[in-house]
Amino acid sequence: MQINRNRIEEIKKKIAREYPEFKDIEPRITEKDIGPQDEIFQKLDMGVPKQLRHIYRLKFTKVVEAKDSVSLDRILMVTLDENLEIIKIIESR
Amino acid sequence: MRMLILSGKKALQKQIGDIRPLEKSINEYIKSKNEFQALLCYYDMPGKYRLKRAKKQAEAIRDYVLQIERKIGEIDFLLLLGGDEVVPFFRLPNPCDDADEWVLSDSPYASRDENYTIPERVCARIPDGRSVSFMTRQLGKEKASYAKSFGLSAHVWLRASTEVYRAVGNPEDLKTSPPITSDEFKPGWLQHKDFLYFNVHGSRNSSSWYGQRGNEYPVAIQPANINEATGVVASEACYGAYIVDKTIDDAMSLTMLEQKEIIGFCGSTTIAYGPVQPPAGEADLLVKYFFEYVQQGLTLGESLRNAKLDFARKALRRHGFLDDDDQKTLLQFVLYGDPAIRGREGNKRSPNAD
Repeated sequence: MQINRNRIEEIKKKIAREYPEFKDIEPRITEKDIGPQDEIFQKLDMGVPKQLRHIYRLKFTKVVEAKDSVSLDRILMVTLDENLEIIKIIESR
Repeated sequence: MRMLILSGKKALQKQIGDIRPLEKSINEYIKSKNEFQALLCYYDMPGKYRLKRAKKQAEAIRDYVLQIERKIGEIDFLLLLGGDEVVPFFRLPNPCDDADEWVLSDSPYASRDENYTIPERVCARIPDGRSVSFMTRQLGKEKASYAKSFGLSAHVWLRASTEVYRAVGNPEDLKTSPPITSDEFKPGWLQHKDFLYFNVHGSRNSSSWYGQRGNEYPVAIQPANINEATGVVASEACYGAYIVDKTIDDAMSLTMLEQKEIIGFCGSTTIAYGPVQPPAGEADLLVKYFFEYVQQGLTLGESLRNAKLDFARKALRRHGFLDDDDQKTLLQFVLYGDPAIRGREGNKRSPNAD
């Protein structure tokens, strides 16, 4: 499934509603195939899933100024799975 | 258990001058650690194992550790003595699309293979702080028990922070910034505590950590607010453990470690991530697991190693893979201080995470 403009707009509205400091910021969109990561699973003694995963990332960024005039990079990242469902939203600390 | 204490003699001398007081403290430290077979090696000096001396490069120093391991058997604890100028951090490719050119990391020192995200041994570092007394102090610390904790969260992350802080304290006691700012911060809040938790903003260019409410970013805490602080510190602040070219007074991590009763500092060398609300992920989850293991009575070093293993397993179970920011979280979190000290009396075993 390809990400389309409608889905991007839906996510932007959600972000504007729930994270208003990132309102009106146009996200940078990337996508990525993720292989089975066999070595990591083996190192952790876990069974290895064989499927290839595909994720999309919407990255919202801005620079803010703290009270003491120090610049802080602010990043909010939305990760979507291959069905375009949000699997996580995280922010820079 | 085996512990290797590793440093570079020439670089260390350059940083702190006369290293004899430190060597004396190391000898006393080794004698006091009855449960360890501990030894001190300088990667740049001939030693009893007749290894080729290593250059002051992270890869070469890691190879040196692996060579020692082949001579004496598996090293369970690795303690690096000195900051980046003595035992360089690895500069790993940044998995995330953010402003960090590299991820400064000690993770490769904790791994026997090339998959650095998953640690196999404990690794911690005692930064030099450009002061021999700063270093010797770290080796002689003892834990007192107070049965109290302190937590400070950016206001915007209160819900997420509550889930982490619950591991060590009463969530109702968690303070937020704002309203808390460095102007009203009371040093007494950090005194007589077992755990200090910070979920705040940080910057590579500032020694302060910041709160947030909406578009308001007050200074939440700065080094001047720290006096006679105690306990185990974990900070999720971006660059909370960044110490390259920093002095004791301009890095929160070093200011914390300068305190007589701060026994360890766990933090991130680079831009860190976390959710705004539960469930815990990224830095929140790693720190939560770290606190839980310390609470169980494991050493600080084991607690961070096990936290990373549990973190990776959790991410794999949740999504089936470690994504970019999961990997960065695993690589960027480091432990400063004595890895063999315990934050709480209790379990003296050294179980692996399960």
